Amino acid sequence: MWRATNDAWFPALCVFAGYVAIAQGLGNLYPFSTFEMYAGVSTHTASRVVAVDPGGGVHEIRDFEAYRCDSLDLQPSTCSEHGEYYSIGYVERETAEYLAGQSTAPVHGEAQTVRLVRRIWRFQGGGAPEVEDCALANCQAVRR
Amino acid sequence: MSVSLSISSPFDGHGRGGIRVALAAVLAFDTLLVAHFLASVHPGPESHPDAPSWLLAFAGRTGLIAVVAMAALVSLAAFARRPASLLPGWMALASVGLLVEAHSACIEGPYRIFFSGGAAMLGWMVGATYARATRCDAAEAERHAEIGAAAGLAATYVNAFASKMISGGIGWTGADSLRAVVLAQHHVDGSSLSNAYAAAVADHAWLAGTLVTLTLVAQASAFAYPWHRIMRAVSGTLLLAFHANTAILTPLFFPQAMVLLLVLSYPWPTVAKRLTRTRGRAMEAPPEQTAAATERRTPRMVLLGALLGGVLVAWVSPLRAYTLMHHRHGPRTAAPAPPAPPPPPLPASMVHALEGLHPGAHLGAWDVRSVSGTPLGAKLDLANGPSVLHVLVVPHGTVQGEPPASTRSYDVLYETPGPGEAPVPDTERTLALEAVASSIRDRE
Repeated sequence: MWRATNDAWFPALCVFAGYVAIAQGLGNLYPFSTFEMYAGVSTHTASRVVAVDPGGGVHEIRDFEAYRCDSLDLQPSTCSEHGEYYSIGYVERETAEYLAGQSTAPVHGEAQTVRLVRRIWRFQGGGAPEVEDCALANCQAVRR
Repeated sequence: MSVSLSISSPFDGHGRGGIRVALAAVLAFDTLLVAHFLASVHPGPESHPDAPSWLLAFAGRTGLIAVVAMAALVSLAAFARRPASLLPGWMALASVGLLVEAHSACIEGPYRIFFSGGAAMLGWMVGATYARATRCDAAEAERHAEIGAAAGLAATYVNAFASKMISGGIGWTGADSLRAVVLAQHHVDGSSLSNAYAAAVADHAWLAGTLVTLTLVAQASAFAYPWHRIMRAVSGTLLLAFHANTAILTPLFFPQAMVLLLVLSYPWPTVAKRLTRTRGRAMEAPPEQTAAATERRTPRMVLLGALLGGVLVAWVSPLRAYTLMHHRHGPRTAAPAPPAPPPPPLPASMVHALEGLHPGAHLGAWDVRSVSGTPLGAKLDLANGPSVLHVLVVPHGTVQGEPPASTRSYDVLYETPGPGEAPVPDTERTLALEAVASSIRDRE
């Protein structure tokens, strides 16, 4: 027969089991969380919006500022001809907010041509993924 | 035969004031960070559709946010200084919770970085409150609280493990999901070690698969974390390695969780004593104290009742419907494109002239990608690597002005680049248009 020699185990076990049970039932309500994060991700693709310079070099959107683009639509349906692809909501939101904010930012420095593309990776097999770009907009922007 | 079972903590025989201060510091950091976030957001399309107006009212209102944040910080200061008082800890938890939920209601969902400190604090306060109810002395009460905090923190990782198992089962060990999560967030440029590591994970499924397996092992080890000092060190080390790996591969950095793991997992008082080579009689571990069975009965029943009540509320109440609306957009995946309509046919009068310009035909450096009819004539899409040129062939007199190229019967024109298409240099464009005209002349 197992016998506890001190009492701290009882509240600790209640906290441990209770947190798990309550969070699994409730979802995310402070301080309870299931920390599901990317648990439900099941995909063979990935994508995000990047900037391509005239030489073909790929850059982060935030490597440039004061964007002036001919037209820009970041909705996932814009590249629907490329089929299904996976992207992360907060990354898309931050990209859209940054570009929207930079569209009226003052221009300090020499602007250069950059193309905004949605880079899509497709995993087929265990090796390097295939890469394809969906053109989104031609822009003038200043390198940071 | 009876066997004794007891929880061992790396802090047994030592004071736990440092843990209390660290926990207060973590929650103070959470308070300032979430207050900063909340002050810079406003309700919008991403906000929770069912969030009460009083919760959304915090967004962008610095004064209101500051009041709650100050209440949290004052409570945390009192919690750090006066372990015997329970009210400050519970007030701090409630204040931070209000700010976190107000922020979550305004954006697409909660930032999980705030929940590790909350879980540990909840565990601490449950342990401390239970110890007060069973009339433990100060040292034993702090022991209850510290082990409760460890249990709360461990439960977050158990939930992460459970979520993966529930969502994908053992199939979560598949590599492509991790590769996708990394590529969808990691920086695309630069030559840092982090970039090289992320590229290696993306390019090698076996490496990604190994990492996800190790992630599951680390998170599963949290089942044993609260119960023995050796498991604290082992599991704590695995979980710290998991966090470090995640921070290298993605922008996801959980400093609060890492600090709490560092503080709670290792026998720092013992290490400090050995490093300082303190002379004199070692502090003896206080005798284990267990409240009399009669004194434990009521507090245990109350705690069990609270636990069952919490579970009932979690699973049955409308709160679940509310929390389900967080992150309701989820990962965004474009729907498959509908079948493209067939291109309109060429005018019958142009079919013979354009025989040499069928899809796949080569015109020097350019390839014909498609040919279709238009109300005025024909449209050709030419491609030269990443460059694209849209060419129009129309009968003479259709448009005014001098065309860039022409044949006996047709003018050869071009369209301006579409969105995202790079302009074609003049020389290359002239060569392409002349090549189209030449092919038509051969058949006129």
